[in-house]
Amino acid sequence: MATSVRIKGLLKEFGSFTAVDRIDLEIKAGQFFTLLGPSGCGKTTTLRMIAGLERPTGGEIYVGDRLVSAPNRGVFVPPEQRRMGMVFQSYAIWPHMTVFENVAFPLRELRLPKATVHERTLATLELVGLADFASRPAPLLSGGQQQRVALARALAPSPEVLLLDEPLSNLDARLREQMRFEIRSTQARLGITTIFVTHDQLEAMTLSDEVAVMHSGRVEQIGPPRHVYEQPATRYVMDFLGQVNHLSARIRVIDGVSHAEVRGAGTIRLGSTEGLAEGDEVVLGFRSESVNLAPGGGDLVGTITAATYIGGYMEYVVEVGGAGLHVRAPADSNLPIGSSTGLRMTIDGIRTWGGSTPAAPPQAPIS
Amino acid sequence: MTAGDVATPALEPQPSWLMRLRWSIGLPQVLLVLLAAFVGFLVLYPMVMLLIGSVTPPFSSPDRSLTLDGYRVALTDEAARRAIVTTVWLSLVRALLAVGLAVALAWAIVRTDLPGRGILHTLMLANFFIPLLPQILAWTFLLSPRTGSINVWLRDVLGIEGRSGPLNIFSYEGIIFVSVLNWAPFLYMIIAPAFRAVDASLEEAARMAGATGMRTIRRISLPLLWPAVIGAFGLAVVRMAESFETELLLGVPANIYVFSTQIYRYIGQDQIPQYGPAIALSTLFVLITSAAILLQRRVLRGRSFVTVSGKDYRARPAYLGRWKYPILALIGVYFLLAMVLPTVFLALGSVQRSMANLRFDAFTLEHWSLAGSEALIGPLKNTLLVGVVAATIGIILLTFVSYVVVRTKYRLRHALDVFTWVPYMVPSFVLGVGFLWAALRGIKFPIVLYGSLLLIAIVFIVRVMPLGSRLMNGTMIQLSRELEEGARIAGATWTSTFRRVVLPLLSPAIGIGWLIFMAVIIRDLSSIVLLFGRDSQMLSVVFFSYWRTGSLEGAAVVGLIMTLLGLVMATGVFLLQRFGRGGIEQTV
Repeated sequence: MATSVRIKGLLKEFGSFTAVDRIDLEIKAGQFFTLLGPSGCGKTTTLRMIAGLERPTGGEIYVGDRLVSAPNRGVFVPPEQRRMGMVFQSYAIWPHMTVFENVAFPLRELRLPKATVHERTLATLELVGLADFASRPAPLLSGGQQQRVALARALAPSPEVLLLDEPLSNLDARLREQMRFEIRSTQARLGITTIFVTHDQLEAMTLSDEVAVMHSGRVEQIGPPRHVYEQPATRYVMDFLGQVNHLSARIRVIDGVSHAEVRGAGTIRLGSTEGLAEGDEVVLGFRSESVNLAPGGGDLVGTITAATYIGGYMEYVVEVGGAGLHVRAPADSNLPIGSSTGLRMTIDGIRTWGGSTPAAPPQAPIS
Repeated sequence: MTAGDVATPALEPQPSWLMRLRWSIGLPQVLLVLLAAFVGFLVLYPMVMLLIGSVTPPFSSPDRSLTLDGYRVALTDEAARRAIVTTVWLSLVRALLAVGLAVALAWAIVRTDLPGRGILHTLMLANFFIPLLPQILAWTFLLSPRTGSINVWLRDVLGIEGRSGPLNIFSYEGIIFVSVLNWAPFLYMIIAPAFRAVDASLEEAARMAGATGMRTIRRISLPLLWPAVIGAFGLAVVRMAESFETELLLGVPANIYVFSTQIYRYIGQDQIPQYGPAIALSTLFVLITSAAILLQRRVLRGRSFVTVSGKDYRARPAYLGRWKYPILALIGVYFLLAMVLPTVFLALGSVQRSMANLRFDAFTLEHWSLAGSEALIGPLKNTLLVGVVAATIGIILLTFVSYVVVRTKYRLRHALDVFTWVPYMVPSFVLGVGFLWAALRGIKFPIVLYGSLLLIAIVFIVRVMPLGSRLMNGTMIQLSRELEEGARIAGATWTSTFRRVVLPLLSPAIGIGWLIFMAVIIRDLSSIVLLFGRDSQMLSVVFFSYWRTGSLEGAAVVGLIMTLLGLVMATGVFLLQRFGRGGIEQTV
């Protein structure tokens, strides 16, 4: 049965260090929700507090309508009573048990009849494609198999919430892709509320219904992956979600329309004037897909300093106003190093940071 | 070479079989054979002499043919048989209790959120280095039936009539009590790393799977730690069985004899030394301990579950909640009993006219005048000299042996590995018997070995070998082979790689090993009690002489000096652990 998870003002301090700084999250029933951020941003601590493995310093956690943690009110439900399943980064497969015993463990803790334990264990192993491995001792499993046992063990007791702590980070690239797909399809089939922790933006993009980008114990932005990617609320979010080009520029307001003037390279018409004023020093941020080579034309002029073939397309480094921009172009484009080229910008893809007034809040999700 | 190869002439001549042979018996091989021969001789010679001694007729016997009389006497002697039985049950009981205590301590200090865990761990380390002999003395001072301070106080408080009791340190209970207290730190040092190495997420996974804290301990933690605990138990049984000092000081006055003290009774206390039964009993002793060790290895084979897992591994402590302070208080009681109380009372006793009559209004430094006298300066010098020489030679030998065993593919490495393990199966008191017989009846060397400092140093080099090889092998395995290969690729020769890469990386472990050797040499009585001479007295021997002649205050002074030296070594280890890589606790 899918359940929502609500977090209010969650706080965790280790001595004078604040690992999680009063965050609020609202995870809807059946959602695949991802906590994304670099190591040390507090995402794993947040997950562990939801699990009950870490005691919060403040704030409240609700699972459905049940309050499971509220230090101010003396509420702390121990992990074994929270009806959650968890897959650990190290998988934490008990080495002194067989595959079957590992998966049956949570069912036996529920004091289910023997026959039921047997039946449900095998059914869950079937679900992850390990039915043939039931009697194998756990230490004799490969990384991918351990991962599946961990998933089966977490799912066997039909928990209300599934917690995944970087479950893919110990797998090699090919297996990671396959497991990513399997986790997503299993989750979709069972419709279980899932909270996933990762530092890999690709995993976050491809798996999630919603992503919360965390930084220094705070949530920088929450939204569907596409929204977070295309409408980053902060420069940090934009940088974290993929390669970003940065350009320093000065704002010029011409006929009521703001333009960004890049010294020695040209001017880009930004359209909106919101949050920007004449003379502001700003940083423009945009991804390589928002800039195209336009030899002999475009908004900016630069010099090609490097060209690399990256399978399917070319990546050029174009020096513009002292900064090196990464620009993609078709594989058959053949511009010599040292030549000068024009660049055409896709204005929707440009974010400006550092204006004199706060930037506008991100708009509603793009459908 | 065929004609087709002419276009690409070989730059180097193909080595002939003769050249290849010369290459394969170069300098390294010669040195290796010498090393193996030296280590093998040191270890095996006393063992062989022990075997020969066990079938040699007594000096007085006119018949020089080999005899099994020694075995016959030893096996039919009611006292020897009783000693064997006592050894077995006493070892099992003490090992069980000591391992239980060590497990509890390791769990509390390593796996929980107890306040001050770091300090407690350091205190365990210090405790491990405190010599046993003075602690035993302190407990007799506290718990001897008539004059023991605790007994006097208890009689007073409880209003007990009579002049003795209620407690008596000279008893089975007393031996068990002191042994358990003093062996716990050693076992802690073995168990704690295993506790630390268990991935905490294995336990957390059980909580997430619906198991309570207690069930998690029962179904996950204990089964995972079982091999480490069984290993420690096996070790404890063997070490308790060979233990000598506690049994000598506390058992013999109560007419309690164990294996080692029974052998000592045959040789050391009777008018005429009965070498036959003593040596026969020694060989039986080796046989039994070897069997126990082999059995233990068999039980444990392939059953080590302790795995250090992936990248983000970090032990997360168990939450103690309201149990925090009660548990801390219990650990406080342990340290009070194991370190503070005995050491303080030893110090108090050393400034009393008579330890048996403790008075807080009359102190005297008369016994401390001993500290500056020739009676103590000589043995102190001997102890430090033997310590420095044996520890230094021992650690150098073991560094090379360990390098060969862990890092090379020479076939001789197996032999070297076995050599360093043999003394482990030989109780240190029996090792002393072997060297005694070797010195008395073995090969005649140009210098007299019996009673010399040289012999004592040799005994200690052999004595520390198993411990040292465990320490150095453990560290050597952790050194990535690529570090060495990187140096070779960078153009360094083998010697300069060893000198500039391997040695610096090993140096903390070498330092720690040296300090542990020193501590063993300072505290040990069992392996040299049969070997010392007039000019080769060690501190432990002087301590024992004072004890035997009833000069307990003198023994207290010597014991305090031994304790102080032990703590100096502990401080050194602490500093090396804090500021160097690697550590005693992974390896002891």
